[in-house]
Amino acid sequence: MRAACVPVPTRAQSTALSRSSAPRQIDRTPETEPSLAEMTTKALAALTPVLALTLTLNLTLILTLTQPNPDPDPDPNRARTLTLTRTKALELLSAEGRGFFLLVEGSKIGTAAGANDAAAHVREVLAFDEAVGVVLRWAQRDGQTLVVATANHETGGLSLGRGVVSDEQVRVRLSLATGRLTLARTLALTRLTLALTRLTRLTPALALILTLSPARSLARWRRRRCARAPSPPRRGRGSTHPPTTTRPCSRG
Amino acid sequence: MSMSAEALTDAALAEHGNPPPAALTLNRTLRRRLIVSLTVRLQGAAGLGLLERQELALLREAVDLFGSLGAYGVQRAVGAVVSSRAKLGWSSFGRTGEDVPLHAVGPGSERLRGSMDNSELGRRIERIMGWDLDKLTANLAPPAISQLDRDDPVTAGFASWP
Repeated sequence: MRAACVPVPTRAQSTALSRSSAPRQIDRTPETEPSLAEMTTKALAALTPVLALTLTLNLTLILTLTQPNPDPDPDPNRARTLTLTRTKALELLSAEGRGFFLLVEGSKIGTAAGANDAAAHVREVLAFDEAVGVVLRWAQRDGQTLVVATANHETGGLSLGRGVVSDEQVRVRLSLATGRLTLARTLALTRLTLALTRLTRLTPALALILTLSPARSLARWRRRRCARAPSPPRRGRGSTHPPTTTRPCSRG
Repeated sequence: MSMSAEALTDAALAEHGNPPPAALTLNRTLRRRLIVSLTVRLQGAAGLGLLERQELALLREAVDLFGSLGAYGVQRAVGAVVSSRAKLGWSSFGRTGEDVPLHAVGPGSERLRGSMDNSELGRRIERIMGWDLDKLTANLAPPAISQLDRDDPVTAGFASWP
């Protein structure tokens, strides 16, 4: 049996990105460098005539395909050690099994994520997707090849929706902080009551009482606080916090 | 967003003839010009509109530290500006411990399913391919440790392999 293993050093989101959903304008790999897909195509084309030979000679070919090292300052000693080990492995493994093991590494996505460079990250995910496509088409024709796509680690810890608070959350927070029964507050209370009814299977009336009582005690506490402490100075324009949290006495 | 921080930084540096870090450390005018090219590219090609004061300060800091951080530092600063506008969060500049996906197609792929330790993947491929990696490791280690490896503090630990 043969295996073509395709690891990439971050999330392999290739399956999630179909061609149609890809952004129309993306950053391209520099023209001077061959793309990962081109490199993979060449490697597979070179492998094909050798395959029959490995089957008759009872050999396993081990090949590693990596992109030019983007590491700005690689340690020459370390690089040499790895090369030595890899050559040795090739020699020893060639004595058993049949077929080939090809490792294609999309290594530049790690650099992109390491710089927190989102557009380069997308570019490398698409480049990897293309390389996986090349391997899959080849494997489909061959019929005996196992294709594995995975990552050896994630880099950067990417998350979406950073610091985004929905309007809904802001409205509920504001209305609960206000003492008066405004329209927004009424809506928020209704929503809470309905949620509580659904969750606890209480009757709506009981749920309303349960919702109202903490809100009323909050209002009472705020009134008491107002009587004790003078109102703090108003915040200037451009403050990102909801104004009511800093002015507890203005409406009580 | 059509231009990556990497391409944007490269283009801005190429505009000034790819100056070496030492030249940028010494030449204040060159640093200023580089900041201007970066700003213009971010506002135009990357489509961010006018940059805010703290965004400019971040760029300036990365360019001023070019001598020690290099182009990668500038790329990080540009990446930070773009990510904050795109509401993208990053928890680190390095590798994380997050789970990664595993896709497999073809004969033997039914054995590559579910959550597993990363070293387990190698073991399963070993079984699918019919190899004996332990035997290989035993044969491999002694000749692979050269005098160079023994002198190197990083690889010295491997010298005690059987």
